Amino acid sequence: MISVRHLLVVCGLPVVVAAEGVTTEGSLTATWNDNLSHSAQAADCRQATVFSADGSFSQRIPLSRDLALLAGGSAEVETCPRYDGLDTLAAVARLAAREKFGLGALAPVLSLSAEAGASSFRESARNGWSAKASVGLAKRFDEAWRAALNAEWSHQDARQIVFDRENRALSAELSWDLSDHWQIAAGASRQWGQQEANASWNSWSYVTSGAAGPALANYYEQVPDTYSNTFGSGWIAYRIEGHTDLGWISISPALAPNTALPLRYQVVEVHGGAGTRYLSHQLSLSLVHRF
Amino acid sequence: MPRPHPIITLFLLVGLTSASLAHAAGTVQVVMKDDKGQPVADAVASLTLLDGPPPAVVPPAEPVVILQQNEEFSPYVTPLVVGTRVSFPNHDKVQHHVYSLSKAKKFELPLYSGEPRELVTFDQPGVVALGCNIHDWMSAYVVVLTTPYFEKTGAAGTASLAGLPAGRYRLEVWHPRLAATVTREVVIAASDDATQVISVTLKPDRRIRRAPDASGGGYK
Repeated sequence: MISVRHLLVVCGLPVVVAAEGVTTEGSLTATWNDNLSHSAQAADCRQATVFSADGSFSQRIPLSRDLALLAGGSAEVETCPRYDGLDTLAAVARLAAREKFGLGALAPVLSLSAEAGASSFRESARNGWSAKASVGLAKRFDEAWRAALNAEWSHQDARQIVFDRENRALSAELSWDLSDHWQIAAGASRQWGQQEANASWNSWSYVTSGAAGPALANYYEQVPDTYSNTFGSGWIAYRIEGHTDLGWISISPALAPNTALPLRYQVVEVHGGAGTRYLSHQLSLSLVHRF
Repeated sequence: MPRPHPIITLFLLVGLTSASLAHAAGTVQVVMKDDKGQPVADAVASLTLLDGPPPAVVPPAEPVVILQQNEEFSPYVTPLVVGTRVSFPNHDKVQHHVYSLSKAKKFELPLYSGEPRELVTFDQPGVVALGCNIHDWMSAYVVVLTTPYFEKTGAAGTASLAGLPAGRYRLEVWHPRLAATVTREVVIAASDDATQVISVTLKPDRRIRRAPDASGGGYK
């Protein structure tokens, strides 16, 4: 279970590292997910709310007028009261190079970023480390409109192979500041690689028995799987290969010059082999503050 | 920051009073209000003498200071005369990179903390928009003038231009949200006491949002 001590560590991180030249940010988020279990069968979909707190810091190291290194890290604590096997404590170290092509707010910015981290779950089979590399290009068109493109590779190495994941993703986001108080943003992303899914024993045995057809049975017999009690006794966690489409829209009022309250809706569609797919809808509310 | 109504009617009330018959000097009181009667701050009112030789413009001996504090410029609007030197001290923990791309003064002070290495001399008239190359939301304006008669409206929306010799002047009022400078001819005579009301439309306040963005899309 995530302890109060863990929460204090994460929430206090930005304060602790508020040193000369260091930028710090913290957020508190509540996310409702109608398919937290990543289940393909409607009867297996488990909805729940996940609460998280994170703090991050970054130190800017100028290399030239237009090029800078950003070194930093973040820590996150996440808890899901209904399915506490997903409770997590995670830490990430990050290094990025940022090149700004010119002077002023409208100059495009190219970012190269690499990060490595470790995660500790209540369900220890999920524990492991992760790595991510990304390249991003952001451009502001005027005071209101901004676009960003991002390409990303990520790898997650867990204790159980079922929870290992490797993905490549492309994403695009467009944001529109209606005023200096209100921002609307929308984006889309496609990931290629591996995703976790979960099924109750009834659904799993139904499919693997061939009752849903031999193609599905063959597919499910080939994917890595393991018993997992996160969503119920005797459930099966398994890993599928395919692609994942994400779309999101958010509206974010500024509560103060350095504080925002983004409300975000995201829809996710995961396509696996043999025509398998599952949908997930998420609604999150965050309190984000730059210290 | 509060977002004013996109279309705001600004009332400029100009009261002309003769301060002293003996010196034939007057005072112009500029009162700026929006359509809701609220005062409008940070407008620069200046008077240019139209008849006779222009008065001498002497820049101050000490540099004018524009601070960077809490990741904002302060003040937001700074009127000054041609030839004035400006210091841009950084009182924040993070470095700033002050720049301007304006025709009246192109310059940049690359990343620094504390006191800047150099002063910036504003040697041409015009409006100079300032920014920080790191923090896009930081903005400010320097209004470089060729007349010694100018004042900026304060929080009460008023500006008082005193010690004006009698004569014919061009009154100009500039504000960051005015599409064009408001211009009127004003005659100051020893016994004059006149009031003018000028209505103008202000543009929406389109500053870059400072609040942090929501993090990008992801799935786990």
